[in-house]
Amino acid sequence: MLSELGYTLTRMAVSAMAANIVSSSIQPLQKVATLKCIDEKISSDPDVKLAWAQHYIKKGFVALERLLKDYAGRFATGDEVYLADLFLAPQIHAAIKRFNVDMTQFPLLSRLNEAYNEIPAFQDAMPEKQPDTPLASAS
Amino acid sequence: MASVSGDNKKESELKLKLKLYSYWMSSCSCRVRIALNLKGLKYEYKAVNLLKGEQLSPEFTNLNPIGYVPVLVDGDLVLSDSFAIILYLEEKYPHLHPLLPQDLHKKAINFQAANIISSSVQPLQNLATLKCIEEKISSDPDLKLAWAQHYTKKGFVALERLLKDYAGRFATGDEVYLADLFLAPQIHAAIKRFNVDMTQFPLLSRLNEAYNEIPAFQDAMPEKQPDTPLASAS
Repeated sequence: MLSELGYTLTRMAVSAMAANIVSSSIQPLQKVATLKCIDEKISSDPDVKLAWAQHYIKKGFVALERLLKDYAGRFATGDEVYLADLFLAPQIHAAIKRFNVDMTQFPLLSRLNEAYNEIPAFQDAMPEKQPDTPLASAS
Repeated sequence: MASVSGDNKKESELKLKLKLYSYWMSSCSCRVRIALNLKGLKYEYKAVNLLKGEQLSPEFTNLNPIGYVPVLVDGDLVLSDSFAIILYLEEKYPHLHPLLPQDLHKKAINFQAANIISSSVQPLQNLATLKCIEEKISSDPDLKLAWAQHYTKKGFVALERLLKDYAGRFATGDEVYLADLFLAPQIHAAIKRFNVDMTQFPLLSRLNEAYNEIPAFQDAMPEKQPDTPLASAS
């Protein structure tokens, strides 16, 4: 399955690692359902929720910067778009647009984000361009 | 290459060995321990005491910047995240107890079940998250338990529904596959750590009994690790 992409075993592993940093260590802690749970069961202070989400995003982004620095090319794990990029692009987008994360501390992820912004397949998938995007958020 | 003498051979065998950085209670580490056991792969166990904060040491964060276990070291490759580690082992040793079925649909269900655990249950109940709640929000222990139970039950309800059309002796049929490696440690944690009432989850309860009969699973359980505290060992 994965070997058909012509990956070396190491790069495949790094891509899977990066994808899972996002899908296990960041996204579940900052998604709407979790923040709602905090809101309802713990504290309705919006600053608490924002700080919580930012904490997990930054923690994951620090790890991603270190993980990918030896592998990144034009994209996360080389010069082609692979699995990790599909997980990174939406998470970076959320970090910037929803959680006001200061991206200056994450130069590699910032550069990747600019690369994703030039690819129609990524741009057409972004939240602002979906059939159910509210008018106020559409682009 | 020079030929190796007796001592050098032992040293080079040790150097070639897989190393697993693990914590006895970590369900993510347990998944990888099961995989290594099923594939018959020997490894050196490197204990990381999460309660003492050893995962925050410079030595460990050099290995894994996010500070989580498990971490697998295979020669020059340092690999973290249980999902990535298991897929790597599967790609490298496909002939040793394959962990993914050939059938595309069944393979996808395995990924789905594994990710219900690894994205929707475990991250919300792990030590780091519960500690974050305690430090930043509320130190009420009942709150932490309720939070962990909430997410466990939510995931278990989803798994009961997902797997009811696929389960055989194990989660997705009559062979052990990827989903079972994720389910077994999570069910164990639900019972032993979070007092989840399993009577509402008959399929998962039955699977748990099946896992309890397999040495590769049992030897991977928290109670049987080199760093298990004496009070918890079995």
